[in-house]
Amino acid sequence: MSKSAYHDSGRSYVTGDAEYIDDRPLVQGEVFVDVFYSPVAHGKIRSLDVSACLAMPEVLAVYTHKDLKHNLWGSIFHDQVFLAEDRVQFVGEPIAVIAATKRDVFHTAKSKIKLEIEELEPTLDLQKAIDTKFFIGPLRTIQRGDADAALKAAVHKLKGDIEIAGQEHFYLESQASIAYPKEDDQIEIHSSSQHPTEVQHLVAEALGLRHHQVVCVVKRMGGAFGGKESQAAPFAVFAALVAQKLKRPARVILTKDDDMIMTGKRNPFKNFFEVAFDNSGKITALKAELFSDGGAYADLSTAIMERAMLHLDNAYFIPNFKVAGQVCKTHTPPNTAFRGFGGPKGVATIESIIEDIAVFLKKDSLEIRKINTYQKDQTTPYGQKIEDNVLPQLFADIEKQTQYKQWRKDIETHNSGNHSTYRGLSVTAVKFGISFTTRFLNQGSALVNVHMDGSIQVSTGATEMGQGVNIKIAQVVAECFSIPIDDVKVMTTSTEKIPNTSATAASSGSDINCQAALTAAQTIRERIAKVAKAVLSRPKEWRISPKRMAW
Amino acid sequence: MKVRDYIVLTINGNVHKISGEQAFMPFSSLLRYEIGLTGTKVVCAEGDCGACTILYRRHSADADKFVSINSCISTSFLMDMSHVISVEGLAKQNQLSEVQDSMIRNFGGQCGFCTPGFVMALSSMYENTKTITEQKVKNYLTGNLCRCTGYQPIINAAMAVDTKKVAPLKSCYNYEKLTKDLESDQFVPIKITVGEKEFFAPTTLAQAAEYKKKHPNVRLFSGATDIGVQINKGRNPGANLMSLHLIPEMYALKHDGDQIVVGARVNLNTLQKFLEGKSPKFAEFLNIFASPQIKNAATLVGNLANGSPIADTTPYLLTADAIVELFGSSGTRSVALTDFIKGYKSFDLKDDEFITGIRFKIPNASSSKIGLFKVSQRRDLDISCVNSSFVFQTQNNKIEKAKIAYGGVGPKALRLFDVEKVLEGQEMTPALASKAKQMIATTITPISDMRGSAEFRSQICLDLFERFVQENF
Ligand SMILES: Cc1cc2nc3c(=O)[nH]c(=O)nc-3n(C[C@H](O)[C@H](O)[C@H](O)COP(=O)(O)OP(=O)(O)OC[C@H]3O[C@@H](n4cnc5c(N)ncnc54)[C@H](O)[C@@H]3O)c2cc1C
Ligand code: FES
Ligand code: FES
Repeated sequence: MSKSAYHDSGRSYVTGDAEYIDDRPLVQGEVFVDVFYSPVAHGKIRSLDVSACLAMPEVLAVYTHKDLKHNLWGSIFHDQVFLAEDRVQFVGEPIAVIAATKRDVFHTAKSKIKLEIEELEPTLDLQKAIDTKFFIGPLRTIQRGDADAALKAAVHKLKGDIEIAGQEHFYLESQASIAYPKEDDQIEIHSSSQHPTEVQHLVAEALGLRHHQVVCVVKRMGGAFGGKESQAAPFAVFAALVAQKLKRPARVILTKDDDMIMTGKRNPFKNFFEVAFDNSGKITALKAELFSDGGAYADLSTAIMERAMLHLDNAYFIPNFKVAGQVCKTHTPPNTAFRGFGGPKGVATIESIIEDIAVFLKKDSLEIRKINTYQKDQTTPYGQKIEDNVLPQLFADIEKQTQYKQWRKDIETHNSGNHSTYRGLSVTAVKFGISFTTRFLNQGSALVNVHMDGSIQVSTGATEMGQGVNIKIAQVVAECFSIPIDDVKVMTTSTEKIPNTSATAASSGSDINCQAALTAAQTIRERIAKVAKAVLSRPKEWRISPKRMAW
Repeated sequence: MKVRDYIVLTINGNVHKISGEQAFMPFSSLLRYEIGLTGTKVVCAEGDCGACTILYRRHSADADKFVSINSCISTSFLMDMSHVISVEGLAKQNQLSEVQDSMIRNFGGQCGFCTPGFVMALSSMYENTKTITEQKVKNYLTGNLCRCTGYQPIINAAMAVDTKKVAPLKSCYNYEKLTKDLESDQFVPIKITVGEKEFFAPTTLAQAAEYKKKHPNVRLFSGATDIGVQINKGRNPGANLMSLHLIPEMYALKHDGDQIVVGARVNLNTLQKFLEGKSPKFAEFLNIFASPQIKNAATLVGNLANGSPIADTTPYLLTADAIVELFGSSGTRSVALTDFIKGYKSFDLKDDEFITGIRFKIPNASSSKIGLFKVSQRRDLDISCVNSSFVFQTQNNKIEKAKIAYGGVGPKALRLFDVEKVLEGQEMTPALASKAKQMIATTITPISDMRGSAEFRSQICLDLFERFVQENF
């Protein structure tokens, strides 16, 4: 394990062999699928006429919400429709699914759909949503001590807000799925998804099938970053719908333009705060209200908000603490998971507050950080004891090793002399919660197959998106059996092999799945050891020659 | 007239003759979906991300090296008479190329979707230069996006390659034989008709003019870095399509007295290299034009003929007294660039005419002060908000000749003759500069769009003039 290993797909990447969804060979009869979506942010659908589109010789079918057995979904609340019914709530909201025999007809096909929409006033701006109390889900709070009293008694107080903008995932491989209809009304769906189990379940529900009729397979993703945790599913459903109806394999590959229009991004946040501190910069109280832009539907935004709230303390002990968090609704694509999952919003907020305190007290912000850093045995506002806390030492080491004070002086000299460029310096800490806040999700399982020649195939619920989870699993298993890493292959993720999995998310993919693989490998190793012991304790002439043994 | 109804090229050492519908596809689609070479990826389909990068060499005696181009916006018929290597064609008998090997060892691929494109872009770098610096690596990679690695591992991979071990790409396949396979078609015009659509590639200017006379709306394809994007966005380029790639004169790139002549098929990278010693400022400016992949296909003529008011080469050409060479059924015609551009995407170009080249003057290096600027949100691979060119001749501090041009300040790029007149014969003083700026402000008529507001553009134009003055006087 101490040895670094190259990415298990490294060679396939550089030769072009690595297979992504759209690289799969076309199967006989396979059809192409595209999505017709709303051109307006908010409106009532008056009528939808697809006849001209259907009349195109290449177009095989156009489906709407009426063709789905079940149209409602959502990873946390079921508030989102796969296909719009009588109203649309964001530009890019899917309305109809088109199946065609050729992939280059969709521009024309979509232009032939006649849609009459009565436009309604949209909410496009987070501040407007805050002002009009246009909310998704309940207000949440985390509280410790009495922040109001401490603010009243404060030596110094600062009040302000910080806005953090959204961000496009720009995974290079856009959303993609292929559905293969199988005998006995089964569907096999290949999806570029971080969450094969959710894809399996949603496809089954939308199509009126049982879970055991759907298998979701994920070989790898060309990037995901959270953008394929929940939002791969609708496209899998669209492909599966066509496959079910036409009994032909169906492939949906979004163009980058459509993907960027239709799918959600990082939640923008607007956070308001009041902070109390003494002359030394020690924070005595923090009161904050966090508002996030969830877009048109809940998606994962409430969990993202919770994580933002749970990270507002970051590395600092705040005795009196009150944070309230509210997801707001706007008529934009539903925002979703994105690296950090809300954590950075909490962290950035408190770090920016600390910089404000430093400016106010005319002190170096590192001083403020050191004074407030969690010390031994302190607890967070949500009641977790801080263990294995290396932060105070880390700050001290960094200050020493970087000759921080000298560095700061040099910068000040520079800034006082030259006015066309300015320099700055800051050291910030991050305390980040690894694992799902919904705790039962922190579990995994693994399937380890030991073959007769001693080579091993491992499957888990983890999905590979470039983070290297597969090679880590291989390393763990190889180490457990004391065999070379080349003797272990991590196989394509499939709900048929490992069911009921958590998404590969929450920085937990390696921990959960490597541990599952290790548990499985250890079990097998113990069994083998028992047999080996029996074999090796036989009289010498009965033994198998060591040359024929795998180790 | 003998014509062929196919295009011919080699892909990874095999000769391919492509006809019918396939000839009209984006080349990436042909590779991926028709030939089954899915290693080439498509992400943006507009030339920005480099995932679709392939190696390309024109079949010609003087095109010795492979260069990188974006296959997503190259229409397949433009690949006629060329040799192509895709990512699948780099490894020989399972032996990885140096770049491929280094990318693995330096963790250059994470999700891997961008990796083929990076491998190809880096391969083109070692093909064309042997002294590798980190800056050079970055320059060669401006046309490639990676969302996973943060680039450093890829740069490390590039720096770790032992250049001595890198074989020329020509040694990948038996190109001597392959060249022979292409030669018989080299001087045969192409006509591919599919339903309404027709592609025509003449071998002489006369054939081209005749075709244009018959089909005045014929769309000319040069590097297709503008048209290819339009097509991928669903816009119809029209029924009749024509390329001048089989006409040898179109590759002319030479000195003619104090002028440089650039044929319609000369790409910007070739031009940039050619200009390095002759017009270093313009050559340097082309560094921030698009990406290597784009410049290996894009032409100077295409940049002008596209008619965009923010085409980056136009301001310079205006200040270099460029002349546009035209050809039509009544022969050649030359028009000064200032007269050629009449308005937004409107030219002094007759129905049967097309552009055969551009000629422009090289300013005298010792007595000239030159400033070329491009303002965009990103430094590399971005479309200008405003661009400008200042070319001044001075003697003993006196401005003898002033030439000022701006792009992005109205429906077309402008020469500011009135401002020039006020400056000529004068010494540059703060008062004169401020007078000039006042005049600039009243001459330009910028609009507001997503790249900048009218106010911002106006301010930038004045600032650029100020910067030119500060840097040169
Ligand atoms: C990713 C990307 C980055 C870019 N960056 C820049 C940049 O930094 N600066 C910039 O200015 N531009 C940029 N462009 C735009 C484009 O690359 C340039 O305008 C380029 O010079 C066009 O040349 P082309 O040969 O590809 O033209 P084409 O696309 O082939 O043609 C452009 C137009 O000219 C017409 N045309 C072509 N040849 C002739 C002829 N002989 N006679 C008459 N009409 C003709 C065509 O019909 C078409 O309308 C960029 C484009 C992309 C995709
Ligand atoms: S696909 Fe992005 S440049 Fe071609
Ligand atoms: S490795 Fe994923 S985008 Fe580059």
